[in-house]
Amino acid sequence: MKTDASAPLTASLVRKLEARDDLSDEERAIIEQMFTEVRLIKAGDDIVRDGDRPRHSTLVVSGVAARYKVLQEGERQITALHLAGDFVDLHSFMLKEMDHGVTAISQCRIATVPHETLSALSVSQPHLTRLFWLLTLLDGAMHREWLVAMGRRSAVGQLAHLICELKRRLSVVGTGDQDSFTMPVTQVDLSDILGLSSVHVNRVLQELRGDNLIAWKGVNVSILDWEGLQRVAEFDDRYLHIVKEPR
Amino acid sequence: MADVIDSNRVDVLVDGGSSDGRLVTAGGKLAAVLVRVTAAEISETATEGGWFLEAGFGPCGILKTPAPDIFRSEGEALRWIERQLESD
Repeated sequence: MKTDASAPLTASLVRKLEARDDLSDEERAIIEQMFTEVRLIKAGDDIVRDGDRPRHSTLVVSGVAARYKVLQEGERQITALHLAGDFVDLHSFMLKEMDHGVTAISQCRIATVPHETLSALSVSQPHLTRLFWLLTLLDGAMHREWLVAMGRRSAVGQLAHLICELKRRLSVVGTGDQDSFTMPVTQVDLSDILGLSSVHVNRVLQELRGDNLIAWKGVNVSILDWEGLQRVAEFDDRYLHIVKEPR
Repeated sequence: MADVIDSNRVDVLVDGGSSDGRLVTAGGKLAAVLVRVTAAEISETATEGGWFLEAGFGPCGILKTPAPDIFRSEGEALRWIERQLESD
């Protein structure tokens, strides 16, 4: 994922918020200053583990991370993908104990904000606090959409929907141009995201390629027919709430 | 006594063409449909092909078990089917 080294760590987060509401200069300055630690996480390493009690929340600065749960027999289900500008565990501030893990799908640059800082902001910055609340609500909206897709869409519709979502989310934070983006997920990751066998994921990718809707080579995803892809996915981006209004 | 498991060759219609498959019966009742898959049909990191449980019925179906991994051989797939039937 391309990131501008000179851009502030929080550029994507600010863009994500400003797509939904105006930020004051003071709020932007607070966001820029509230992160205390920046680290690189190797692909495949955990950022947060199931059962942890984090004392900070983690933002993805660049890269792709995933929330996941593992069953006793080792089956993994990925429940969310996180891109630049997404908190992987803003909810750990309130929930305290993690009920899922978060792994780095690609190498991730992350930044952390102490929970005590979030606690202080919740007193001094009510509007910013509401916007952080909005971020966890957006997580919930995406979970609902994924659940509906997994339960009721065809496998082709489900993957098409995921690709549509990723394109819209990336366009909001400004990584990826109109018709192509990098998505470093393997077919095995996709099967854990979609709840499908890797054989089915493979067939679905062939189907989408065969219909000239997308090209997916390595980490490069190109959208060849945006209208067609949205139609197959029955994609309606209302659930992403990319509407700027007072909140 | 356990049901006799039979495996018979069948062409299976899969997306993109037809595939070498097996119709597996237990005591004459349809238990599973297996399809041979190449490494490339499994994932970009798979190094060898195998057998995919295309459809399972009764104890081989999704009511009782999450989808199994790719079986390395037809024999391995048939042993799995046998175990599923015995554990039912």
